[in-house]
Amino acid sequence: MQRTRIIHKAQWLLLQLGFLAAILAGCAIAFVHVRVTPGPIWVILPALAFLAEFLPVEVTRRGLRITFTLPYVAAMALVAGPIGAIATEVLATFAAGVLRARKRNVEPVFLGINVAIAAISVSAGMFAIAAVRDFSARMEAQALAYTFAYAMLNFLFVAYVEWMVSGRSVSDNAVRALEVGVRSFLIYGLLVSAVAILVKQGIGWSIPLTLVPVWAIRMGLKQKAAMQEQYYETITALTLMLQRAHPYTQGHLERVAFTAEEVARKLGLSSARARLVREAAVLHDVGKIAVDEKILDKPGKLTPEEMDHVRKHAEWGAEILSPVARFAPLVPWILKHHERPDGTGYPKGIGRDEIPIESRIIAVVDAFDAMTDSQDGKPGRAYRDPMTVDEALAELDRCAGTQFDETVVRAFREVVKGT
Amino acid sequence: MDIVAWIVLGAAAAATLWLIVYVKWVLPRQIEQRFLDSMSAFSRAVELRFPGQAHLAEDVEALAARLGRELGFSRERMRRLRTVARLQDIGLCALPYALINRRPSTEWTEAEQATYDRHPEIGGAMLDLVPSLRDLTEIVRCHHARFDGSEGCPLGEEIPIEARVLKVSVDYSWTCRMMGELLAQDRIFEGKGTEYSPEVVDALAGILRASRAREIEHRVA
Repeated sequence: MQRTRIIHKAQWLLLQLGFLAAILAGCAIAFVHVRVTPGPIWVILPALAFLAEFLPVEVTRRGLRITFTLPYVAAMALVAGPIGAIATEVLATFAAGVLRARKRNVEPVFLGINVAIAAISVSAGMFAIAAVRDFSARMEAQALAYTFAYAMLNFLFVAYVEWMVSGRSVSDNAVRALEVGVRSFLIYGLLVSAVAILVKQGIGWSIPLTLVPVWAIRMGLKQKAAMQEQYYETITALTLMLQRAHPYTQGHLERVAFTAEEVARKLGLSSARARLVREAAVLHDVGKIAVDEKILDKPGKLTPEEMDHVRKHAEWGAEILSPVARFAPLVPWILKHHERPDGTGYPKGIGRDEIPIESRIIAVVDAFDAMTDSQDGKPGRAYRDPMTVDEALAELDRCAGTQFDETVVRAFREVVKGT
Repeated sequence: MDIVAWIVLGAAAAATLWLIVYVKWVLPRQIEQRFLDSMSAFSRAVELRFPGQAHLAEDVEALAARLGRELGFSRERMRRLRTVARLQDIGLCALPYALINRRPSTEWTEAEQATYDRHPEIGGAMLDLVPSLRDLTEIVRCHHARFDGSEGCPLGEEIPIEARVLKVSVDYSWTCRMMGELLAQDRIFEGKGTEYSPEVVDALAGILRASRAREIEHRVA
C-alpha cells in the first residue's frame, strides 16, 4: 500500500525531472559551444568514467548521490562539449544503476530519477563553464565552476526527491551534505582541475593515474559504512545480552525505541538527534543485565535493599556503555532516565532543568509501554493487569509535572493519538 | 606548464597520498580501536552482573596475549584472541543471578553445574546472531572444552588453537586468584594432554621460566 504510493509519487517526479532534464540538456547543447578537440581523449575519458562508476566497492548513502564520474565528465565537457559530457554521464549512471538495481531489487523508477538528475546537473555544469569562460580562459577555472554547479544542483535535486518521496526534510539533507561535502568537494575540486590540466597538456597516458584517489575515496566510504554497521551490531549484541538476562517481553524495547523517536521529532529535535534518542531508548535498561532477575520479577513490594539494588541499573547502564566512544552522548541520558521533574527520582534526585529532554522522553515512553504491556502470558515484569491506552494516558496526565515532564506527555499523547 | 598548473598537480598528488595513508592506515586502526571498545562494553556488562569475577577478564586477556606471542601467533590470530578474551563469557549473562552471586561454586549441585557448563554454548549462539562476530562462534563455544574431549566440541588439535589458549588462560588466572600461583601451576601441568593442550602448556612453562629468570636477575641486581 505505502510502497505503491511511494512509487506513484516517484513516477510523477520522474516525469517532472525528465521533462526538466530534456529542456536543460537541449539548451546546453544548443547554446553552449566548446572548441572541440578530438583525439584518443574522447575514448579515454568515458572509459575512465565507466571504470570509476564500476569500481568494485558498494556505496550507499542517503541524501547524497555520490558520483565518481565527476572529474572525467568535467574534462569531457571541456574537450568534447555538452553532447559528449551528457552522453557519458547518462550512460555511466544508467549502466551502473542497472547493475545495482538487479543486485539489490531497486525500483526502476529511481534509476530513471537518478539519470534525470545526472543530466540536469551536467547541463548546469555546462552553463557554468559558459559563464566562467568570459572571465578566464583557464581550463582549471572552468572545470572548478563545472564541479561547483554540478554539486549544487545534484544536492538540491536529491534533497528535493527525498523530501517529495519520503518526507525527509531538506535541512536534514543539508547537514548530511555539509558533513561529507566540504572535504570531498575540496578533493574533488583538486582532482577535476588536475584532470583538466592533464588533458590540456595532452598527456593522456597519465590520466588513468587519477583513478587512484577515486579508488581511495571509495575505500574510505566503504570503511565508514563498516564502522556504522559495527556500531549497530554493538547495540544489537548488548540488547541480546539484556534479553538473555531478563527475558523481556519481545518487542518492548523495539516499541519503546520507535515511539521515543517519534516523540523526539514531535518535540522538534533534529532527526539526527531523534535517531540517537531511538538508540538510547533501545539501550536504556542495559544496566539491568547486572540486576538479579528474581528481584525484578518479584510480585509485590520490594524491600529497601532490593529497591536499592534495582535502582542501581541506571548507573550500571552508563558504566557498561562508557567504553564505547560513540555512546558518549547517550550515557548521560541513560544515567538520568529515572530522574523526576519534582526531584524525587534516582540516582541523584536532580530537578527538571537538569534532566536532559532525551531522558524525559524515554521515561514517559517506557512507563507507558510498561503500563499497557499485555506480556503475552509470559512471566514478565511485575506490574498489575495491563491498562488500556486511555487509562494509561490518564495516568501519565495525573503524574505530569511530578513524575513526568508535562511537555513530553503532551507530545506523547499527540503521537499515540496520531495527530 | 605554468606555475598554477604545477601547484594544482602537486596538491592533487599530496591529497592522493594523504587519502591513501588515511584509508590504508588511519581508518582501519580507528575501526579496530572502536571494535575493541565495544568488546569491553560486553565484558564490563558481565563483570557488573558477576562482580566476583571483576577484573579476571583483564588478567585472562593479558595472559592469553603472552601465550599467543609465545606460540608465534600471526597478527590476525592475536586480534581474534584478544577479541574473544573479552567476549568469551557473554553467555554468562543468561545464567541465574543467584547461582553465581549467592552460592560458592563448591556447593553447586550437579544440575547447577550443568547450567553453568552451558554458558559457552549460549555465548556462541548469541554471537551467531551478530554477523561480524560470527567467525568467533566456534572459539567461544569451545573455550572450556577439554583437550581429550567434551560434549559438543571437537577433540584435541581440532579445537581451535585460540580456544585452547583461552582454556589455559582462564583456568590459570582463576586458580591463581583462588589458591595462589603454585597450585595453579600444578593444576595446569597435571592436566597437560588430558585437560589442556600440551602445546599451550609448554608455552605457559616457557613464560613462567622467563619471568622467573627475570625475577632472579632482579634480585641479583
